[in-house]
Amino acid sequence: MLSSLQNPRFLIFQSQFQFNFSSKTLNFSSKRRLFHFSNALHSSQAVSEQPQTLSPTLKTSPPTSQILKTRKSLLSREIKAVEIAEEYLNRLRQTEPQVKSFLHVSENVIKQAEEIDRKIERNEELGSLAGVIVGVKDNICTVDMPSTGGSRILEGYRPAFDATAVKKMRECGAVLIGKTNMDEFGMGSTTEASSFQVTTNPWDVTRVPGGSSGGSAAAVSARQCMVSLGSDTGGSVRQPASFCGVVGIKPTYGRVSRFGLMAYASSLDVIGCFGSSVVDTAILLDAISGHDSRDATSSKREVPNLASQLVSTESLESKPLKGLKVGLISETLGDGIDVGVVSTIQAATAHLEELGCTVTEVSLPSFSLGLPAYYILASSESSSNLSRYDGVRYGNQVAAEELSSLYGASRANGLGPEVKMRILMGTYALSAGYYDAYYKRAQQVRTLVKKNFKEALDENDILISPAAPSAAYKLGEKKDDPLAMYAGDIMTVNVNLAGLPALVLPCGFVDSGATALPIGLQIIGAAFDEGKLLRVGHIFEQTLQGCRFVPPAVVEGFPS
Amino acid sequence: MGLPGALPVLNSKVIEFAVKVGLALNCKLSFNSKFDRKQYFYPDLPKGYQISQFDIPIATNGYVDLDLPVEFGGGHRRFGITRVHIEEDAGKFLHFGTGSYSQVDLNRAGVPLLEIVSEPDIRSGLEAAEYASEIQRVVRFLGVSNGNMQEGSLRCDVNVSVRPIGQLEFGTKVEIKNLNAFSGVHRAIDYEISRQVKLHTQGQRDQIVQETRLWEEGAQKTVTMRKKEGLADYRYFPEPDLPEVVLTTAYIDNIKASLPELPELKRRRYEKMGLSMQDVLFLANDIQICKYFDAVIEKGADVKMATNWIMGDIAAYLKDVKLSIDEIKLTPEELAELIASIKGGIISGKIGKEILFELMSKGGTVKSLIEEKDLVQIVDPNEIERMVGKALAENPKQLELYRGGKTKLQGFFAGQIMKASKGCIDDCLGFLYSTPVEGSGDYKEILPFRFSSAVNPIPEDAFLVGSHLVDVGKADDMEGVTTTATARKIMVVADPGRESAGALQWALSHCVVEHDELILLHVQNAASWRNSFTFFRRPSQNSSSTSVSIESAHGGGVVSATGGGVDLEFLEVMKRACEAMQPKVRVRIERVDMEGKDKASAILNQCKALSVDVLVIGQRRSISNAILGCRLSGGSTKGMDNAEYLIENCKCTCVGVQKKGQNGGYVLNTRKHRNFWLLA
Repeated sequence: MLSSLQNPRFLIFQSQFQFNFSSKTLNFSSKRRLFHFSNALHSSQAVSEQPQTLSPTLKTSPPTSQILKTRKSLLSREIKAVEIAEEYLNRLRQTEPQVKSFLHVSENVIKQAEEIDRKIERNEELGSLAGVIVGVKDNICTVDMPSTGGSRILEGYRPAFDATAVKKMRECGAVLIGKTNMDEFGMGSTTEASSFQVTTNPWDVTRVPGGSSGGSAAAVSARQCMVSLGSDTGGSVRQPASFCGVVGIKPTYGRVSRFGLMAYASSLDVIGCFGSSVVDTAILLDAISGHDSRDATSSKREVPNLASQLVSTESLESKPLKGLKVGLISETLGDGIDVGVVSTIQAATAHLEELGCTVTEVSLPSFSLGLPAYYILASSESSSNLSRYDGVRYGNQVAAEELSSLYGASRANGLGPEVKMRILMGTYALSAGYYDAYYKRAQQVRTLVKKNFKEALDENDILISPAAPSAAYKLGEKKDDPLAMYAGDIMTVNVNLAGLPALVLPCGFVDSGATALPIGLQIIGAAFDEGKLLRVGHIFEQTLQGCRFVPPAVVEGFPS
Repeated sequence: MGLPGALPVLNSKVIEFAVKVGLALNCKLSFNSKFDRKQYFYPDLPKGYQISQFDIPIATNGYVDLDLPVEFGGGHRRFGITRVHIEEDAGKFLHFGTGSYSQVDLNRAGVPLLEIVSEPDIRSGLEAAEYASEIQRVVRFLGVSNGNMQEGSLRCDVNVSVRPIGQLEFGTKVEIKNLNAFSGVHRAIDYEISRQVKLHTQGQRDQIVQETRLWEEGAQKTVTMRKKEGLADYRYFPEPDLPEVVLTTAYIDNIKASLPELPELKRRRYEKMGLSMQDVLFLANDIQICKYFDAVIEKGADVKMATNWIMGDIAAYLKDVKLSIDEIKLTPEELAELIASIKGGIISGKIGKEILFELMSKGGTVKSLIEEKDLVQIVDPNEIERMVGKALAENPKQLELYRGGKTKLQGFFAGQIMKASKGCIDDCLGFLYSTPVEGSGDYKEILPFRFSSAVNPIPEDAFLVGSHLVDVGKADDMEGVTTTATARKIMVVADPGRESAGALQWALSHCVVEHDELILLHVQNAASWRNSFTFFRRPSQNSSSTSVSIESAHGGGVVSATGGGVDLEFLEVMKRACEAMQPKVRVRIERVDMEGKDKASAILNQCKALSVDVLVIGQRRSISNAILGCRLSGGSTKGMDNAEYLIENCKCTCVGVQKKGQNGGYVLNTRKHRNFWLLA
């Protein structure tokens, strides 16, 4: 298993070329060490409660960029894109029975890779994602693969167009490996609300991967793809990133075109990125960002080169983040937050301080109001956005004698219970006589949340919080308790209401009996300040000691 | 299609158009407007919601001014505009015969449109139709839409309510859909008013419910389409996919500066030029005609002549070849030149007409055509007399017949002479020293005679052509002359007076031929009929007007005098006279009430309703006619008698007839021909 993950040729190659970010990746070449590390994670449950205090003898290397590695090895002709693709396809086939993160695996993976190889042969210029294996959340339209949004009503639906983000990735040479599982139309926090299958968490297959972009997070975590696209309406990128121990970024609303993203709540939806390192996430975000004439809400603001801002860890001073003002959102460490999460975040805070940041607690008085406001706004918009799934023009239609029963039966049959519940809630909130009490008040809360964030970000460069109040929980644990599940979004929804960018990166572990589970740190920035988030995240990630966020089963192979 | 992942994008053109329309309709513009979603399920709405503007439309609170057509009594009106908003169109349903399924055409779904909502200021079907056609003119003038109702580029839903006089609040409104033409708007509203009034008067007011009714063109009535259970909840909320629209003063000013002259301003300007309202409305109706007319006037052409040419021959030609005025080859410059040539006496009006058709179809310049064809008119009386003499000498047989009393052979001679002169005799001379007196070769008697249409008939003069040629044809020896066999409707205004009798006499002897239908129209003033309907604020035209039509069979139908206690025996007498003189002509009597309007309008309405070809009305010898021998200028209807008014304003040919003593013949007046003497 490991050999396929760490292709020896990569390693040779790495020693030959100096990477911007990866002088330390040379350490990475030690198979044994990695192996030991994962063993240590398994065996040292005593220490896993305080994982950041792992014995210094278990020295680990920080994550490296799979994208840059691929690029270098392709350019040096160490390896062919087809070989990389085959390697990932093999791993996908091996891991998929346990993880179930894909709804569809592309038949064109090898073909796409061959195209890249031909380009290399012809010495053509390669895009930033050339040969990069990408998973795409199923609510993002792809012209060559079914796109169902995880819903029965769109079973087998093949879009007539690529989403702008997909189109841009293809133009950059990405190899699309498949469509990842998700909660139906993004409504859920566990990926259990998918109409088709339940994805598991690669760290512990009895646990949820989070949601709604659970498939995309699990796929990256299980190394079924290098990076993936997700979508984030209330935390759907950040919470699964935290649960699966991968990096996830939710960009500023308007940074990435929503064209081709099946709308859940249009004023909150954004396409986000997953990767196993901050650099990968940055390169992917860089590729898909920018104004799109097909999305009137996409920003015309220029996109800075996000990846190039990430300084090499080689040249880091002792206090690379000196002077950076960090606000720790005090409301996120109070009641209802797991102790393990709180201590992990505190340790991460200490790490940031070590890097030179000044960390102070900030209060967002409107924080607790965000969750109900979010559920009203998102449900209201979804009740409207999902009206188009009526079975008339596409998707599954139930034959009926007359029109209203055609609508009724097609939707009753095609939509799942969670979706129906949210449509009902949203329809209610928008109804005459209730609009002012619900929708309008929720919009007022939204304004307040924006204002609070602005004040806090005027005082601080970035804000930090956990990405979720707990680590990944058991499958089915919150299935029948939607309020408990909704409460899990408390850390993330406010960011969507404010439209701000936020980066989640794994910062430590909590023990959960059989395995250690990763915990994500959320870094929130001002609008269009993704560059700063990525820079801070990159330095944090590269300097974090003693943690390696590769699920043990991925290294060892899943028990069959 | 409302595909998953598809997003709306605002077309910047629609904002520009909305601002244009808002400014043209004198609205207040919203500097910050937004879009909302209106939600309902229907297969013509692919997304399940319509993007519209709910609480902040782009323009509000305006008005539109318009002039009602003269034939409907005229008048200036101002109607309030509540709002103008932008929304997206829905798909179009296609229903097929089998009824088991319908299809929907989504090609227009998502296309932006402007919805203009008017204040409840409109009081009749006519006003609504005129309001709608003014909106059509405005959007056409602005270049915002072709305003074509058949294509659905302009659509119209109306809401109708009635209330008793004195009641402040409006009655229950009923919406009518499926209105595909202004005439449909007009009739549907009038029908709906009468339906609602009837329910009111029958004490069934509660049967008027808020519903959507469908106008059925075939049955000419409205039928229930769907009843609304209360107000539908469209669950409006702000459209999150489109940012709000922010207008700057500079943007608005820029558009304001680019606005063309709008219909209302054009009408006021044309009115000031001295044109009659009839002319003004015709010219200002069509942007192309306006442009053309303005260009002709700019070249210094006589306003009235330009109007007559455009409204007469050019309009007829356009209708005939189905072209718009900017598509014909005649440029405004050349028309101005043509008018100048006629006015300056270089060519005759007759020749002008001839080359007009050539100019319209083939192009070229007036000057070159005149030179090429040697068409400069003959004004020398000696030359004319020489031609007349030649015509008489060459046609001894006809001359014989003429002398034997076949006076109608005038037309034949006229044709011969025009042929000989190649049409170069000015019809404005109005008469010709032409009729030989029996037994002598000299031309002792002056016979007024017009040549204008003997060679080249045009619709306006059709009746002259018809009667003369048919009569000539009866002489059995004419070659190359055919009769017009098309049945026409000839309406004679029937009153118990000398003028009317004279008119009928002329019509029977000179106008009516076999196959024609003769209508005797009597307009009565039965004011008492209307009283029961004035109870309502909006009396319906249909319900309050009564038109009784009695088809008469040969052998004489009995007309019972029902309304107003007027002795209508003279109608029967007239009818019998008709049957005696023209036994093969169908004759019927029409009686119509004045409905509080003037008599002329009632006659015009009836002409239109019955598609009459020729209207004949008896004319008193008025002082102005006698002295001036010309019509009054200025387009004012005051001081003009009914006959003059009708001659001026009737869409079909109207002939005013004055009988001159027992054997004095007739003096005829039409729009084109004044004081045309026709000897008995």
